[in-house]
Amino acid sequence: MTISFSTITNTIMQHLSVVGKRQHDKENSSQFSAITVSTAEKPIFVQYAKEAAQTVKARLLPLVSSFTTTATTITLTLDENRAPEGFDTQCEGMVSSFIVAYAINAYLGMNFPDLARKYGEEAALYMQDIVAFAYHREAPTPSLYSYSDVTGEIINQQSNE
Amino acid sequence: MNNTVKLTLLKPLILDSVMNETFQKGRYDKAADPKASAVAYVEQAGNEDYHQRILNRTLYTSLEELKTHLTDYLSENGGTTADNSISTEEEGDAIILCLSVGNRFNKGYTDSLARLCAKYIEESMLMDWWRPVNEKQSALYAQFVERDLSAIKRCFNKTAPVAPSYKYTETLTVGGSSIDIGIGEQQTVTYGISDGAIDDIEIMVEDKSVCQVARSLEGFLVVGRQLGHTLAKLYSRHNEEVTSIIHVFVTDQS
Repeated sequence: MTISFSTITNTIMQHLSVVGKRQHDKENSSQFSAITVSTAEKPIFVQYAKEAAQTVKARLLPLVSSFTTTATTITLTLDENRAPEGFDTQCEGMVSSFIVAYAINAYLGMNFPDLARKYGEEAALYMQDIVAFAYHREAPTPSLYSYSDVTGEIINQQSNE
Repeated sequence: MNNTVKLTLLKPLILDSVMNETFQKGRYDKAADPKASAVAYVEQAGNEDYHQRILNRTLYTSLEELKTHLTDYLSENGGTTADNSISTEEEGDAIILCLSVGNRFNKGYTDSLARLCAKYIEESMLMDWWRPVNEKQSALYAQFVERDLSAIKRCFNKTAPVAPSYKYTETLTVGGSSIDIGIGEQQTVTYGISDGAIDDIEIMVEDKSVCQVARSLEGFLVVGRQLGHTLAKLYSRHNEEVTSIIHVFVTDQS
């Protein structure tokens, strides 16, 4: 799966915008400017995304065949062994959601720990789902044979006459 | 006397059974503890290269162990185990196991023996699969393996001995219907019996004072004792209907 930093960062910005618009301090002043980030600050989320991806990699280590990051993307390749149908797409979605939740939790945790908690819990749930999904095997493919094909016969029979 | 029992085991079916059993165990563990996904994943035999290497190794070592157990069971006519032969070969997906057994082997158990041997290999492989990681589970399969061996052993119970049967003659022909000899002279009476039959022919003389008879390599030797006539009867000792009569004349040959 390949996850783009720009997609992750945009999603994070949308979350922060929604949260910021609805948060006010004791004086009823909007917290929008405190919660949202400027364009100059956005690269911090790339760093958070890399950390989150490393966490995913660590939890799925037995399945990871390669992990690379570039300036714009994270690419994680997992060994699929009797994986469920649509594994790649679903797993990519869950990992992206985890990275977003992880990054927002890390960011908000600095100044808004109460707000951060919800994202921390979400990240934990996403991680559980990722682990459960990635470590799932479908039933083995049925054999072409059955036990009735296992046979015995007498050959070279000799009489006692 | 030996019969050869050819057992055809199927490698893909054995591997399939082992993978199904491990899959079931992992699935059960995951149901019991939803957080046990990673545990279940490593419990379940998959197509990973190292899993396949483990399965292949244990398949062949289990097969070899089975062969050593079969050696114990193939006691033939009280002979040594060296009299028995067990060979294996592969034909595509099949593992062919040939056993040399006595002629009292119960042929009704040939299929059973093949399927029990396959089951033994499967459960022996599972015993090995769990051995490094789950001693309790491995011990469970060790019990199954013992049970399989016991069942395999019972397949070799001998059937009751068959009463021997022999082919007796149904025909008896002689060289001529009469012989004429002098006193003290002898003549051989030859006879023929059915092909492949046991020679159970005897001779009986009506008046032993006229001649006497004895067995010879060629048939029966008739020796004249005094002038006269008598009947010699050749007969089968096992079938009173198979007879042949010869007239014996002892005459003055001077």
